[in-house]
Amino acid sequence: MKLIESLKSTSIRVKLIFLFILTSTLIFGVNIYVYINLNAIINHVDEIYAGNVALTEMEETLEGVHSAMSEYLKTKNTDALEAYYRNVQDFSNQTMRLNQTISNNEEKVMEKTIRNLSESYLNMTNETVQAKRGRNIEKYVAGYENAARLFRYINTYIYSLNNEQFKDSSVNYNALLSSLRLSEYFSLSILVLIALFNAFLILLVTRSITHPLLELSKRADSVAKGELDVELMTVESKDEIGVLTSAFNKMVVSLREYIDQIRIRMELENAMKERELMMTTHLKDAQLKYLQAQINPHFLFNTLNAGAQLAMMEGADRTNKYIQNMADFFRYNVKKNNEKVTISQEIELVDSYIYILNVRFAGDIHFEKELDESLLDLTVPSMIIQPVVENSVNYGIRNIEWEGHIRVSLYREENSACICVEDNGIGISPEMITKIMNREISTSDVSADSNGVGLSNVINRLKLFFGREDIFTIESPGENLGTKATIRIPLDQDGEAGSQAGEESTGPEEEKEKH
Amino acid sequence: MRKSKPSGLPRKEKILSRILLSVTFIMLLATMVSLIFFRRQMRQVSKPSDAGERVYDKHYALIVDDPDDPMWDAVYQHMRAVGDEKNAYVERLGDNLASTYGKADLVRIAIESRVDGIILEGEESDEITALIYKAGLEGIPVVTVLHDCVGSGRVSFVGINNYSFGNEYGNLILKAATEIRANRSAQTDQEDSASSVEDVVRVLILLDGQSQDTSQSIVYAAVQENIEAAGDAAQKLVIDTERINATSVFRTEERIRDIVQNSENLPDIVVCLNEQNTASVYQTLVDQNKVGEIYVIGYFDSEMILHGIEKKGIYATVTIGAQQMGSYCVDALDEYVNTGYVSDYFPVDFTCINAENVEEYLKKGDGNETD
Repeated sequence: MKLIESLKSTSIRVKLIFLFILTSTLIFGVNIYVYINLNAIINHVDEIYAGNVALTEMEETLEGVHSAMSEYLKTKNTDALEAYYRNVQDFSNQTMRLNQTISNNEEKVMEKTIRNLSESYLNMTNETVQAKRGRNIEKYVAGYENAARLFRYINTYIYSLNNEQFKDSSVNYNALLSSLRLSEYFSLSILVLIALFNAFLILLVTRSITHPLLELSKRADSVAKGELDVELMTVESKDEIGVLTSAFNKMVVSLREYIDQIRIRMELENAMKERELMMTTHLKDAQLKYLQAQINPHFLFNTLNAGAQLAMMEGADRTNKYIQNMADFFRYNVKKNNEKVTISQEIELVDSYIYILNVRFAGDIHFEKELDESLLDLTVPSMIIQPVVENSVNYGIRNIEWEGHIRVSLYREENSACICVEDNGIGISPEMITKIMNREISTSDVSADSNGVGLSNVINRLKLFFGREDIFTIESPGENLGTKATIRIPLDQDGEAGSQAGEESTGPEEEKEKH
Repeated sequence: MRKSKPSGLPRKEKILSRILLSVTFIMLLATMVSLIFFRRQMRQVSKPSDAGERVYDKHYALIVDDPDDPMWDAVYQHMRAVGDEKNAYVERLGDNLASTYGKADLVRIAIESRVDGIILEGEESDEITALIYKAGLEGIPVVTVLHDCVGSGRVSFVGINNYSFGNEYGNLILKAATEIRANRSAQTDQEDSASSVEDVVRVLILLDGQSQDTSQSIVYAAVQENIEAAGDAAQKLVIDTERINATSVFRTEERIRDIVQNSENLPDIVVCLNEQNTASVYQTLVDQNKVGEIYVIGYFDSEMILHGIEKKGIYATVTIGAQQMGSYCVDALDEYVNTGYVSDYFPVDFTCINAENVEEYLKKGDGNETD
């Protein structure tokens, strides 16, 4: 198990190398095993027949001794004598290896007999050779006969022993052969087993490599078909496939995340579009309501006109005039709010306003005009002079002890037409002027006497309409010394500036100036 | 995040690895077993019956005429047993030689290979006498067994008393003749006819044609003497002898067959003086379906002969004590080698086995052809 665990954590390359080495080693081992067995058997065969080989050699040497002796006896040849001594030496050496003890092993007893007989034989041949040298004919002839007899005996013994040993060897050989056959079967079966085992091992390892790959490709196919919801594969090994698998898993996970993100973003976008749509709807609704709100003033003007006609028919001229002015003022307010108008129209509105106020406040306000007639047809944004006048009335002269004067002048100054509104009221401090010019003062509550258009609104609209910053100035010489507001309209272009004119807020903003 | 469910793979792999392990184990086991088996086999092969090997001090040679005779087998077994006790190895010389040597050659081999003593089935030939003498000169003592070689300088003789042996046969012949006559008279009483010729009992003694020693003649003489001493009973006994020549290998068998088949001169009693003849006669009678018609008096107590007696195919047998003979031989040699002196003659006992006492010999024998 541990082996398999460690095998899992190794790379495919190492796995394959390990596999190759293992299978090769196994096959090699079996071969070695077979070879050792075979070698042992061959050695054994050698051992078994070693005795036979030695005996056969001995027989040949004995033959050599005897024939050399015979040759010497026949010819007295020195070569034969040399051969005789050489063979005797060999033969003695060979017989020395034979058993000497008395044993109940028949073959060993035979060896002993051969050894003793050989000794007697060599003695006899020596004597015979000596007799031949000494020319003792009788002795060497008798000696030769005895030696020949002994030679026959020894030969018979060697032959018989050889036979006996051969018989034993055959028995051994048969046993050996059967064991050889057996070992052959064993070797073969082990070889087959090993081969099967190897095949199995290779199958297992290659399967462990290919199986995850197949699995991976299956899932990759699924992913390719768009099924991102596939099961993540468990990473079982730490090899290349493991790396691949975890990379694949990561890819699938990040794909899912990515797609989730896209979905969320799309949902958000949809929601935003929906809101936008809602907003436009609301805007339209507001505009509608606004239009509806505009209808009522018309109704009011018509009603007021009806009132004025009634007053005229009844001969109430002042009432008629008052109602007429009031109706003009409101109509102007409604009609001209977003349009360009001439300065004369603006002056008329100021007249109506002053008239109404004088009616309301019993002629408290002394209104003067000094107008350059040539400039009266200049177009300006609507509702710019009346709010300035209103501001002078409300904050300049409302609560003063002396007689309030308001003076509106229109004159030419260099390339500008100047509209100047002066009062003799309480004046404005320089700090307040700065604040007003920077439009830092905002008022939330609408004055009861306001027509709804504030000073800052006027300044904004003028700046946007003419595209210049120095279009409006406020001056005040000091406390109780009055205020002078000047609008400078550039003249080189008929006073008609860019497209931004007139679209300013219609909201009821009003500047409240504290004194 | 969905996790992969446990797939079948790890489980499968576990099983596979288990199989793998067990296969490896089995193979290892097979290899070990085969290796052990192989080694054992090899060891068995390389062990050439060294297990029971024993080394002795002395080496004696046994030389007999017919080494295949079961009697000699029995005697040799006893010699080996006694030799083991006395630390002497008795070799049946020439037993496993490729060519068959005569006694003289074997004695020469024994002398030239300088054995410590020779046990020889003696014979009265000059050659053997000279060889025994030569062995004496070489310092190799010779003990003759069963048959002596007088005047050869052998140190001792182990054998039976031929005279008493012959007497025993004589007694058996007389006893058998009496039985035969009794049977005949019983038959003639029934058939109411008599013939004097029928009283004659024919006895055939089979002698060893090759044997040159005097022991056979002594036995024969003793048989005759015994019968003559019986007086009247001997009058109507006709004793013939037949020398069976064993010069060629199967001659004995053929000659006996001839005798038994010759119905005109069919003997009533056949006396055999060696084991081989006894076995041949009995076998021939069985083959010819003449068991009971001829009284066989045999020699030695081989299993076949004992069974013959049990089945009444053989009348009786005289046997020598093989054990006694074997041990006397080794004892005599050993005594001489150790002391330089030994008795000149060791008499071996003989016993008669017939239907009455065959049971106890069969029990004792139990497949071992000894008494």
